[in-house]
Amino acid sequence: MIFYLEYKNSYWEESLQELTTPEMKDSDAVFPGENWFYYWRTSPSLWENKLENYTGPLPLFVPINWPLHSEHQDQIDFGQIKPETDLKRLENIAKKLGKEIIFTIPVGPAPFLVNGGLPSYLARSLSINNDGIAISVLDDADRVNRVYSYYDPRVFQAFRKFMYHLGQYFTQSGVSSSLYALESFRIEEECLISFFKDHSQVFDGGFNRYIKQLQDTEPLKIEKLIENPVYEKDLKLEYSQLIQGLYLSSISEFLPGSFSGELKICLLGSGSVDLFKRSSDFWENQSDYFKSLMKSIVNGICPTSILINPKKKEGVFSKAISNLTSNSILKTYLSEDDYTDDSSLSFKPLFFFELHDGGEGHFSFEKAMEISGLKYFFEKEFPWAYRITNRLNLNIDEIEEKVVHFYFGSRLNQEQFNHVLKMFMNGNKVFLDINKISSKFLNKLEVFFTENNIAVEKINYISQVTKASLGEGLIVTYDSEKLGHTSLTKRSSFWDSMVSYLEVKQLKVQAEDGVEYFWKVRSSNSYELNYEEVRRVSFFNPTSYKRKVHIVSSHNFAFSKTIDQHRVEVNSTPIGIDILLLPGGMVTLDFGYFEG
Amino acid sequence: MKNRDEIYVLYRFTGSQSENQSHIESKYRLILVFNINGLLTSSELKKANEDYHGQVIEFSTKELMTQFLIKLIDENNYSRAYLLANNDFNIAIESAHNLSKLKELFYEYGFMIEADKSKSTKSFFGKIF
Repeated sequence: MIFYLEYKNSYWEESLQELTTPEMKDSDAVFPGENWFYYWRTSPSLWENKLENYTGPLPLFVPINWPLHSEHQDQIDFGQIKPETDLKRLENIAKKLGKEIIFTIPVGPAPFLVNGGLPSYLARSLSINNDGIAISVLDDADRVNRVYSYYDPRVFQAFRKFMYHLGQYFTQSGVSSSLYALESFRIEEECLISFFKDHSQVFDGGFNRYIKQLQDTEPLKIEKLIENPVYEKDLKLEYSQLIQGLYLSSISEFLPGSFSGELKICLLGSGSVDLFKRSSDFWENQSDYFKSLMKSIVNGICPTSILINPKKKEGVFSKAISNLTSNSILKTYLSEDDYTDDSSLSFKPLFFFELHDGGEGHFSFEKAMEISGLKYFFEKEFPWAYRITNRLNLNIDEIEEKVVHFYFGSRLNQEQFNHVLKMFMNGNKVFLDINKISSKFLNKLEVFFTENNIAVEKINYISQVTKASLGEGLIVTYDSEKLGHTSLTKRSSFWDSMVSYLEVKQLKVQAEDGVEYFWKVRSSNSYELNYEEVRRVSFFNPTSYKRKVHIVSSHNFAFSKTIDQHRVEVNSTPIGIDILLLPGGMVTLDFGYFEG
Repeated sequence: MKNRDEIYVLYRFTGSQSENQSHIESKYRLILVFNINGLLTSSELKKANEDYHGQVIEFSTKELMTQFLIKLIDENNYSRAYLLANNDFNIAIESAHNLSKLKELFYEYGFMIEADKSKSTKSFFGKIF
């Protein structure tokens, strides 16, 4: 029997005191969730056995654990001292077994690692959140991981040094797997926040130095700051992006052959409140994780449950996250060309609406959606069937025609505004919020309609609404501020009417509180030529009560099959499908969709 | 964080110079108020302050904050509250390596207020500062 003393990083000294007998790790500890592999949690002699028995989604994400490779300031180890740091050996095993791996290197705090992924000699300044609280998370083994600031210049210098050595090692040993820069996010009050964001004194110190530098290099920015102190927020963001860019450029500089892009992940259960929630058996519940999971999906960020204790995600949540982290879905999060959609016959999350923003500044989609009533409307009529993106200038030819696009006028620059008009001309459907939009753009819109002889309907319905169409193209303008002054019911009726123009074809679901569900879609295959596409809906009941669901029949949909039934009763009737989910119950149903 | 009849309060203290520089203006802002079942509900908070409508709860002195919390535990039948300032939390979390230590944080480093006797008992930080 092989005993293996678990590597505990900053707990190392403590562990040595505590452990008199080597500790055998749980067999799943190396696979904390989805497609993640923690190579340091077992002996290298067991890597082959572990990977051979792994049947989950691919590629496997292998985070490079910096502290493991650099226990001391003057030591960087890739297999020379400790065999568990030999990444080439790991790659060889994976290749032999035909299991594709992708190395990831955190470019900011990685809270699933001790000290947020910093070697203990660099863990000096705690990263602080907006409320002045040290950012900490509970990991899957119920250990508290504190997160330390990446704005400390010593951290950056050491990171560069580590990247240099990693680059040398990859080249000399012939490591050929892709390497992705990893950025971790958490959910705070329904918004996704990067762990790179920091309010610590170290950040403030760096920012003050940046301001001093701007006084010489860009005095206009300083003048603007003096005139308008709120501008400080923008400058802080600029500084933060600058520093993050430096970390990224260290990877591309020293690992040009391996660096394949950025991977953004959302660590479920890592929010500030989650630290306390997860410390109480009465408070922690799977329903909260469902919301975070879906929030991550709609924001286009790869969700992961690697922080959650395996016992806490058993049952429906585990099924749900597996459902949403299949091979094909995982590949969409990797920006590499090799991973563009190679199989339209794989199910992907279904969305009808796409909300666009440049991603700069402090704009909150959540707030904008709440004010306009869109959030409530989507939750009621199209739960999780929307996507939030910061890609403003999409390639016109690649835009899905069926998707309805939402833009916030106040956030557009000239080029982006022109892009919106181009999308309309190209047959896309666009909703444009004109709240605080520049009058220049409003005039341009009027001129654009006149010059192109486009008929425009204007109605006063809570907000002044302008509707113009050209072929398949549709552009609707509205003012979210006006909507914000009315009741939620009125706002919801507004969107009911607006969306009715669009003829979005979707089955209506009536689900009792507590039932979680989401839709996926794929193209029809050669045996399904009657259908345009196949839509799949999965229902989960994480509550302790029976829950009912009714799916209303529609002539555009044909019920095809039921799969993954567990603790559920499904009855098909002429008016729809009745589902009774027992506690912990789940079911997936496929429908063929056809026009007509 | 173990008992059903307790609440836990994480607050942020900030002090800044007043506009005329004559004194320090203090603020005590409640960040989290919770029990083992979750965050306290609006209706529970409303019992201690009927003007509460989901806004940030802030006090200019620690005494005012304590008065509010005493009323909160009295009106909602809790036996006591444990208070922890953000700076104290940031020190305490350095020594909490695992879940069981985390559960002790408020008891070990917090400041306790009891309901019926309306008296406070100092713990670690209270004793040394």
